[in-house]
Amino acid sequence: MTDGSFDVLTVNRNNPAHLFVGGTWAGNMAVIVSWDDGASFTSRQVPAPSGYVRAVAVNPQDDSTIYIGGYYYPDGALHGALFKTTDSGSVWEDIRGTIEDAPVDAIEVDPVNPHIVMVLAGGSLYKSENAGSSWQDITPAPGLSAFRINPEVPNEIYASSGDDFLMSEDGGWSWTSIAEGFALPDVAGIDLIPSVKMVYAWTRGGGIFRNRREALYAVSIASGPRGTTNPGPGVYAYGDGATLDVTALPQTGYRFKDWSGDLSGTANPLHITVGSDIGVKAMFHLAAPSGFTVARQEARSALMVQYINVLSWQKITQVTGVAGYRIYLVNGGSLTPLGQVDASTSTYWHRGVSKTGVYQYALAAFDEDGIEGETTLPKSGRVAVMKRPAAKTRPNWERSP
Amino acid sequence: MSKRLIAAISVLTVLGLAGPAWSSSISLELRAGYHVPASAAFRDVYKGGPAFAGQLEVRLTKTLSLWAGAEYFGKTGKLTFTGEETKIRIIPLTAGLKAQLDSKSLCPYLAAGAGYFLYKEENIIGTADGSVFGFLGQAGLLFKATKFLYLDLYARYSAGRTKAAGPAILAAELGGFQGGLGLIIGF
Repeated sequence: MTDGSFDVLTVNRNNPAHLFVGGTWAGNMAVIVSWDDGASFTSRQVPAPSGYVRAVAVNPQDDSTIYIGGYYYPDGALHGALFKTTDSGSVWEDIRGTIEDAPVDAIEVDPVNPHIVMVLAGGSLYKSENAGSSWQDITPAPGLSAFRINPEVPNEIYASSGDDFLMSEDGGWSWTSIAEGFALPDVAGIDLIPSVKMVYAWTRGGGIFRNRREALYAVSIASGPRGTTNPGPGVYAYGDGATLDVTALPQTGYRFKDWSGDLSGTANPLHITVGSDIGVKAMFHLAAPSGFTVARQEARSALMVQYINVLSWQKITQVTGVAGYRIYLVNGGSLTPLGQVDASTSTYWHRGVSKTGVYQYALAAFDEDGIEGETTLPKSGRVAVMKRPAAKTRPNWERSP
Repeated sequence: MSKRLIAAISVLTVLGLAGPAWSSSISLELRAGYHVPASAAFRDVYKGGPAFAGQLEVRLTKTLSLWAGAEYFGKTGKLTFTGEETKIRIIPLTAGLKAQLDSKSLCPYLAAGAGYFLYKEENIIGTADGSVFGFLGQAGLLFKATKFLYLDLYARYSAGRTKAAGPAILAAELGGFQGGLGLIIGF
């Protein structure tokens, strides 16, 4: 498609392979249609000589009905142009009717009730409830520059006038300002994300604005490797004050470690009260080896002795990717690394321990990325294999003389 | 004539020049025996093993003599639990008195003395070395092989106890039972 000039493009929301391009073809207003996602196009000329297209809209339920708007010079003077076809462009009908004779800047068709068509022309907004047969002026304020129908709630209409930003919740019959003190000068276009009721307005030289119509916040849930979450990873919209529980679900052989992101901690499920956009990520790590025990042994020769705390555990076999095990000495709640062994080993000798010493150990597996798993203590907790004998004490009771 | 036969004749010639041991004022004994440590803990690690000794004896009276000598016991064993290698070397320097019956062919005797035990043990735990005083007692029978050569069939018990030092050095008994055979040459 190389001939002509093309100004606007519309896609049928109900059938995205159907493309409608408005422009000028052979000196006339024209619509160029593709029914195959742009692989091929067919030109449909509109009987509007020396015209320029500014808007194209289709009936999403039957896109052989096409509306095209703009302006043209049929007699040497500028006139507003608004045409409709119901046969994919073979026959066009001028439906401007009572609309002001000014360039048509925007057209929208109600996605639910396609008999409702709205047109922005000359800064005024017009509404037809009979597919363009007649029009009513529903302009909320003079000098409208853009408008948009919420495709999921068609009665909800947004429009910009001067510095103000307006919203109608009854199909355009009444309007309220939602500018909330912001000046939005010369809005060029409006769009929205219905799922989170986010409205965007972009201006000519004044920046881009957005407005969240309800206190809906994005809750982003993610999971690290070796597990998932319930609800599953994704972005969810929740209203202000809404609560939800997110459960971390580790794979076999792994454990939930903690939450990272905007919230932290180890609670599972994680209870969230939504008050802002929030992102959390569930982190997982290897489960602790089971059967962790410690026994005191002595290596003795004729003249010397060395005491050894023998740590043993069951190797993790149900999970691939275990690279080894790390052993820690627990000192008042802090972990001091003692050493590590490879994955094929299930014992560790802590040599040279005191004969009467009391020791506490912790054990964790680590994976090939070096990420350490859940830490475990021996079954007996503190290891006191050989305790110092209790000193003999005098009994508290004595026989009275 | 083989070299071995020449060597044997040479030794017998020297021994012949030495004269009868029984009546000699000085004699030399070379002894080999099997040492069984007295300590069960010692036996757990090293078990028993050969011991060797050399002894010089000076006759004081017809039935009493003074002797002094040195022994050697060296063994490699395994640490308990770990099975790692450990080595020990014990060298008792000994001296004492010996009383014997004067007989033509068979001579029983009793001996007693003091020992100064030098020892050294090495393994992964570390090194323990030092010395300790002890005692020993011995009984035996002397057999007359030739008029200058006697055999000594003996049994002895020695005792020498080390002291503990620090958490890794144990008190240990170095002595034990020993039985063996000696060759006495009189001069």
